[in-house]
Amino acid sequence: MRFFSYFSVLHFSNCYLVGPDGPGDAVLIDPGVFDEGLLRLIEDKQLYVRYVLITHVHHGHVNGLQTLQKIYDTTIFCFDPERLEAPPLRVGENKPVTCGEFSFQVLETPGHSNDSVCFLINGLLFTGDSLSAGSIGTTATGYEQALLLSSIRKKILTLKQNVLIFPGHGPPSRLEIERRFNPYLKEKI
Amino acid sequence: MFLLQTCSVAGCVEFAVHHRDTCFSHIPDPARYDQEIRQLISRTDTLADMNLSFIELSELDLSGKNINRCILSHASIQRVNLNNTRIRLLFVDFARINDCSFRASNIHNAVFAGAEIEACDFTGSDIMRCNFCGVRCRDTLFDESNLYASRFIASQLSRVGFQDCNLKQVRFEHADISEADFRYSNTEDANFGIGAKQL
Repeated sequence: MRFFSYFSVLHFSNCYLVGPDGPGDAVLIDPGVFDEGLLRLIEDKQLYVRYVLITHVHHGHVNGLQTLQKIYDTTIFCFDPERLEAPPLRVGENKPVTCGEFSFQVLETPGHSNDSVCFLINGLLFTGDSLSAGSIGTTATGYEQALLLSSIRKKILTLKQNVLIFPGHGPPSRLEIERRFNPYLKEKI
Repeated sequence: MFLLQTCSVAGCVEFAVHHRDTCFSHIPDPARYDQEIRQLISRTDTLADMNLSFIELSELDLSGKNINRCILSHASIQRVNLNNTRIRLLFVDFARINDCSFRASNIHNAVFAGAEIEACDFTGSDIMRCNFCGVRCRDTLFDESNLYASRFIASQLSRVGFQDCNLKQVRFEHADISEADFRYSNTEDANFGIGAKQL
């Protein structure tokens, strides 16, 4: 499995590309933008974006979809299909998302938004805006923050400590780091 | 590509290290492995897709190298010259980094979180979107560096130089900061938030 990250200046968001060792069908996670740099990355690696996973439908994570779909014949997966124009397929915790040779476990982590999910594959956790290095996603109300913290505790903190975290914004992290240093998680436990 | 293969020893949850099927603590001859890795990284210009967690590196010249998608978590890195390196996606979390120089380096998406960083020099570097959460950092210079969107949340920073740095979107919430030098840096663009103690 090959794995690459791409930073979008437009929304200061991260997008991730998971592909096979050689040329073939790849999975793009949260295309907040689809620009020349991302296209060059995909093409240089001889990959074809056959699948897209969306952690939640906010602009910074889906804005690249329209351009992407003009270039690649792709299947999109997200938690709440009604929030996107081109209807994607619904994901949920009841079954993993199969993207060709890759199988992603889905963790439902509502709080930042009602449709927030994380995707886990081979020890790599794509957290969208639910959890980032030393922080958690923004929430509109105290209830939503409590919901988000509860989601993180139940779904994410119960994973193995060496899971690597790749958030929608900011630098990567590791579960052990967040357990030990994330002030939101330390204060509320 | 991270080679995230779990250690072959039953019950062990650590990842296997580069060129072995076990983690570092289960290698039969760690000293020989250290030597093998020293030779390997000395003779190549690009270090990529390596898991070298728990390794001990000292007295090495890695200046000018490309380091891509590597894991050196819990490593001990002492007196290593990393000047002018280009680093992309590196995990050196919980490492002990002493007396190392990263001057004029270009570092993106590196994870130093939980590390002990002492007497290191990052002067004149691009250190963008890097994770320094929970680091214990002493007697270290970041002067004249671009620290855009890096995070020092819950870190302990003592006698650390941030002179003439770009601190846009840099986060210091809950950091314990003493004798730090922020002269000529745009501290107004950084987030010291709640809980940051500046002594």
